[in-house]
Amino acid sequence: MGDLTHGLMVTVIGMGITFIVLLVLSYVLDLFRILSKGPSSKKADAEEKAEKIKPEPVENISIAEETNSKNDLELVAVITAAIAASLNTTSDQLVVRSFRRIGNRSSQWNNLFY
Amino acid sequence: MSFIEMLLETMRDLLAESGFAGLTFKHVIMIVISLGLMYLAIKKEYEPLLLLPISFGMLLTNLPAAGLMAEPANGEVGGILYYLYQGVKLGIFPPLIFLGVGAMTDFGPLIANPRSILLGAAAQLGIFFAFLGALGLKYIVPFINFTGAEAASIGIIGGADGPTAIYLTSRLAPHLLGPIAVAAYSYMALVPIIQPPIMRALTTKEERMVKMEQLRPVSKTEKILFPIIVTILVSLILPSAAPLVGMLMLGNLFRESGVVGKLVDTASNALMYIITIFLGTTVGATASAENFLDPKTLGIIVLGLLAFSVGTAGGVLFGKIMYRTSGGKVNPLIGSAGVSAVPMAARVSQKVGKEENPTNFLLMHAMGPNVAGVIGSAVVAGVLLSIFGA
Repeated sequence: MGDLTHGLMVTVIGMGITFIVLLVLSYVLDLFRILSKGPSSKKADAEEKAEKIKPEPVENISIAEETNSKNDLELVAVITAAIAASLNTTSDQLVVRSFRRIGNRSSQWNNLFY
Repeated sequence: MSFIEMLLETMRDLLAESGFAGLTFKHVIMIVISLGLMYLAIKKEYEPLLLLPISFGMLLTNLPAAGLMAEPANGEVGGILYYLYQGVKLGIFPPLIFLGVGAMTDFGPLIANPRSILLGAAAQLGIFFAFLGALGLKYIVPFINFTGAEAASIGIIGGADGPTAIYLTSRLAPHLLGPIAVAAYSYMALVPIIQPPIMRALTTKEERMVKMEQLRPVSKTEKILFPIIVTILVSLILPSAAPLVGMLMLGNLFRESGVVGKLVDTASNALMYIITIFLGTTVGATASAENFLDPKTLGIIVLGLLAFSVGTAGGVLFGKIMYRTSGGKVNPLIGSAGVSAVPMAARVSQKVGKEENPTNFLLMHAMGPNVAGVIGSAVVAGVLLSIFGA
């Protein structure tokens, strides 16, 4: 059983060193963030303010689209991204709950030339 | 009469010189195994870039009398694979592959979210679990007895990083290179099958639904400083990890500097594929019948799967800790990406997260732990090398 105790020691030391090395690295990267913010802090502040003025995250958007069970998930993803882009926000601020297609309201004249 | 005698004698000589004379039952089994691996590589596309050369190397080395792996002896030159194998034996090829990997990797997500590096450390748990398993195996199965160095080489399969596994094994237990490389690359191909059940079992629906904040943009200066600082830090703390980490970061500096496009292109394309051919074929060629047809190979295959599974679990569990400490801002699913296997493991996190919440995009968040896993497993390899190396 002696080699198992040795193995346990190796495990503790090994995981310990791995964590320490990567922890040191992550703190050094924190310095990066401070350095990168330093010179442009005013700009960042301004951006943050602009963020606050923005309306509350849009919670319930019913896009007029017909429910199509086949590609639903991908469609939700695409629509979320599109709304996020048009509202100038990011997709993590949005929740698409439902969408359905509205009937073809365009004039018959539009179909004449096809 | 003399003509017929001569004919018979010539035939006899030819037969004695041919491979058939030396063909044993073990060779036949090895040839069948190599054909099976070729099937997996070509038909199932299991990491074909490596599994195909590995399986063919296996075939070549098990054709008796061909002598492709023969050492030079009695004034005769050795086999071609013997010479190419020196690149593995001397630890040259894996760092060169890392050069190419570095040239292809974007460490931006890691720089933007430094804490995610810790997930890359937690997922290395699988390495040590399999290492302990290999040491303890002889108490369960008396005829499989792994030494400490062998156990360390088996554990590194859990790093889910081919070059690192090959590098460490070539140093500590070269006779196990064949089975370890085959296990490492096969399980890497199976990451999308192995990981999701573990990820779902360890997390709640609520945790899987977490949407993470958009990552901050990372400046070019930060991206250039990153490889330089990592190299200095890691090489000073753990010199034995320097060959792998140093080359990885050199490749990355090429990429981020933006001034040596041709070097980036060469390192990540031509050079890397040339080395892949040499590495794969010669690692496969170490799988001779004597080395491969051993109960140890079975042990390696079982322990390798264990290493992958525990590594995934370690990452996810640490992700849960981060979920708690961050007040629900971290999705634990990105933890499983800590087991390197770039970018497959990150894609698995994305996929499992999307199943729960179709509007969730975890990919970039998972890339952080994913690339941290590469650094993490190289660090572990360095630790194991300094403990078990000569």
